[in-house]
Amino acid sequence: MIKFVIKRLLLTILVIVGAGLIIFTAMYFVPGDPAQVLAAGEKTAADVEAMRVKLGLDKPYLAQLGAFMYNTFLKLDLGTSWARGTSVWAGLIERLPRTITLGFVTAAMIVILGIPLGIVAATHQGKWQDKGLIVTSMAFISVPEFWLALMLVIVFSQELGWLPSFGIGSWKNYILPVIAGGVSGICNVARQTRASMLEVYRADFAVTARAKGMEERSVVYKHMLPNALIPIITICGNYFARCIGGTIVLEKIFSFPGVGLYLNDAISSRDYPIIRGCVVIMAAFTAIMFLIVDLSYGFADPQIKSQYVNSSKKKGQRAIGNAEHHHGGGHHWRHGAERECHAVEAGNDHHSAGQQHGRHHEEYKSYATKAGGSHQEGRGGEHNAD
Amino acid sequence: MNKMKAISLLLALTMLLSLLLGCNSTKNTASTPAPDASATSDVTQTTDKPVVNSNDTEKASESVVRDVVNVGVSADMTVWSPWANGSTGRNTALWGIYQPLADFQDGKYIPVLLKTYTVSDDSTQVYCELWPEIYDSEGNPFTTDDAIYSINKIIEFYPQNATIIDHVTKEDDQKFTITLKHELQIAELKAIFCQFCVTEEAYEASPDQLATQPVGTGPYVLTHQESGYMFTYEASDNYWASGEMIQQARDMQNVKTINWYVISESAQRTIALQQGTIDICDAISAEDRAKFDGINGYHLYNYPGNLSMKLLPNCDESSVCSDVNLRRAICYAVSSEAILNGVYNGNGTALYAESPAWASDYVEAWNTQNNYYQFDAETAAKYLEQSNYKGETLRIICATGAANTSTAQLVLSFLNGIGINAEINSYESATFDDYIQNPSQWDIMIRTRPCSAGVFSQEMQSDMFSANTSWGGSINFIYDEKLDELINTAMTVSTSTPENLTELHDYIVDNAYMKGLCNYNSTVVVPDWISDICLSLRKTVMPGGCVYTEAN
Repeated sequence: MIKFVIKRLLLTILVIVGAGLIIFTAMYFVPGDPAQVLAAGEKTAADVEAMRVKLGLDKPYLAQLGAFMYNTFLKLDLGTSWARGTSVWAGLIERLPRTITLGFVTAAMIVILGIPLGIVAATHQGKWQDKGLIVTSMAFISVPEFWLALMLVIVFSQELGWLPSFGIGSWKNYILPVIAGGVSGICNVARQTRASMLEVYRADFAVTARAKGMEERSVVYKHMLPNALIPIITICGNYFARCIGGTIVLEKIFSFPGVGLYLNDAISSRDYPIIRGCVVIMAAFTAIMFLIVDLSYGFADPQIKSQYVNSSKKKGQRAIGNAEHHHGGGHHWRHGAERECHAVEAGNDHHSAGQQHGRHHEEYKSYATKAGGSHQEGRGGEHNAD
Repeated sequence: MNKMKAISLLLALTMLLSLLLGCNSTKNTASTPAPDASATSDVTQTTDKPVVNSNDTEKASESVVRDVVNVGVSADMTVWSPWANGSTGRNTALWGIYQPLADFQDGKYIPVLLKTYTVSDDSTQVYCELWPEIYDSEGNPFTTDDAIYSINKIIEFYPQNATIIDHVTKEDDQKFTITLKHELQIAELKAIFCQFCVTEEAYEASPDQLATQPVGTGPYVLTHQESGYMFTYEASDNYWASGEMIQQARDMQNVKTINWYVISESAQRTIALQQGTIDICDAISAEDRAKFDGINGYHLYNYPGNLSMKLLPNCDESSVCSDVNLRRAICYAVSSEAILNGVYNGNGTALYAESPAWASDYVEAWNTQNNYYQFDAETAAKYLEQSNYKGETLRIICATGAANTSTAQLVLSFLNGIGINAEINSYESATFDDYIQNPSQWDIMIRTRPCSAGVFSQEMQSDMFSANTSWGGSINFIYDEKLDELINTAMTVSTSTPENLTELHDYIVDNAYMKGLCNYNSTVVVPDWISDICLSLRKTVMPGGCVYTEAN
């Protein structure tokens, strides 16, 4: 497990450095001369050239890139804003907590409301709760975030005067941005949860549990939900990963002084140190959040955890594992002990449980591939978890 | 099934209601805690108020001293240093913290840190005397040494100013002499006089050149800031100026605390005003003016803004617009009035010259001279016929933004009207600034230009004087020695006569080097407990100089 984490951490660092490289190169070639923008007042050729030298823009691409990479990734120095004259780190430290708060509260609301709504829809398939969710979610997913934000401002700030439309003065300032940023996410998560739950709704292990007289609530929360969790974690993880980068439009609309607005202002003034700094921080945050999401798969699914643990084992062992798998010898991952007991009691569904496991394994593999592809490795060790 | 229908209907109704509520928002409601917006209209009262009172210190000193005023600004304070690149945030709020040697109003210098100044007979030397006992907010005395230090810093930060000053000589602690490199030109001293000055001690003691914690001689000190959200000024306890030392309302302390809220979105500023979160805002969009016009509790001040919309043909040989007859055809084909009405809802003035009529050296006769390309499709067609135009597609370049693109669209339709093909290329501002330097990228430029000094000849120097651009031509690639000479003559104090100014104006008109389209108005909304507003050199509200009729 530790090896897996270290490996992923190294990959994460590579991703962040890659993001730095890409943003530097992109900004180097993008039209718009920062020296021209930043040279004050009326500009002669000499003024612009002097500014170019001052900013170090007169040096060749590789020299500038080297200096940027060295300062950013070895000295952890994001530089000084060209327009503001202040440290980019200082600017980010001031704004990051605001943006992260906004992003996390939004993501938390998405998870807290989205999953239960999806479960309700799945357990009431075809009924008004389900159809209501489908219609509502389609409506809100198709509504652009900025439009919803503007409507909320007009209704709740301008017309009703209930909530402030800008700033960070109190908790009330967060209500409208969180709603505007969260509604489509809630609908997406609810739809994903519904789909995942429906996939396992009539699975053998669920049918067996019901046949054994378990309460529907227990079937849903103890058997179905854990098995439907991986895709839900993936989509929820995306929303947490978007905590910083996903709020740019909202920050602009609500004049919310976070990283997004900082970046937005910097783009128009060609303030490269801020742009690069923001992008690197966003990339780092996103990569780390995805790492956490990947690790959380292990907690949600012991099979995946065993992949992490056994990922360093030899291929030969994988082959053995695969062979075992194809004989349907496994138990359903989440409820191994429980199901063993049930199987003994029922006396006839052990084999079918193994088949069910095999089907789910393929699904998990496909989700894991979508989430980052790392879970395919060490497939052979899956059965060791049981 | 019935349940489904009911749910669907309910959802549809909810969405429809939210749409209706959202779209029907042109008037204020009485539910907000702000000034009473449901009361009867009082247009005459609100619009007839005096627009600006920045000079009358006697009247400003009669103001009630208010405890707190909240102001909405459109941009953050990028950096607090006295000398840095201009930005909207700096232009708006920095004037209360720092002070210049002199301010500039209606074509005249009004001494601030200076007690007096005189120009030598040959206009090559300026004798300056500072007020005694000037201190900054840290208690450091401001003397001649500090003034010279500041002037040298100004030259360092704004190198183009080095072309004006030869050297500065200290006479004593209050007196110094500025020796110029050439005969003084109109508004030329503004480059030195109207820049901020600080004490050397405060500047050198600051670890970041006052970038985060300003120390100035102004009436206010920065006491609190949350970057990107708000900052607070408190009236300085040891402000050096009083009585006769204060020669303009801009340097007064009629408010104890000013909270500046950064609200980047125009619609949010309007809502904040309606909700009473902010009291004053000088960045209200033309569309939102109606929400305050004639509404009790507010005063709406409308005044000519600093910026004018202009049309500049590319005069480089590589452009089809290097043909003077085509340029004339374009100028005649475009109606300034239509652009004013179509883009700015008529809220401004159509131009009869290259700069707005409020410029101090503007010649009134130009308004009636009737030679300034009034819309005339027939004449435009006549010049088009005389030109070498062969159906090429002219590229109209403009920066993104509703006003720029709408103006470009109208220009395009006017050109199409006389048979000129055109297309619009709009770019975000930094890319636009880059592309306009390349003569092969465009044929007609639509852009707003400032008239910061309020001087026609200086504006022409900015726009047309070849030495002011990095490529050696004018902003639209004019390489014309006669034009440079006319600008120089119009700008020099001893030769800046209406005749010479008219000669310059006529020359630009005759060659169709540019067409001034319109000068649009700025709108300030203030509560009705402000009877007179004070504007800065950049035409932004200075709360400390406003006249208040009610205390908090």
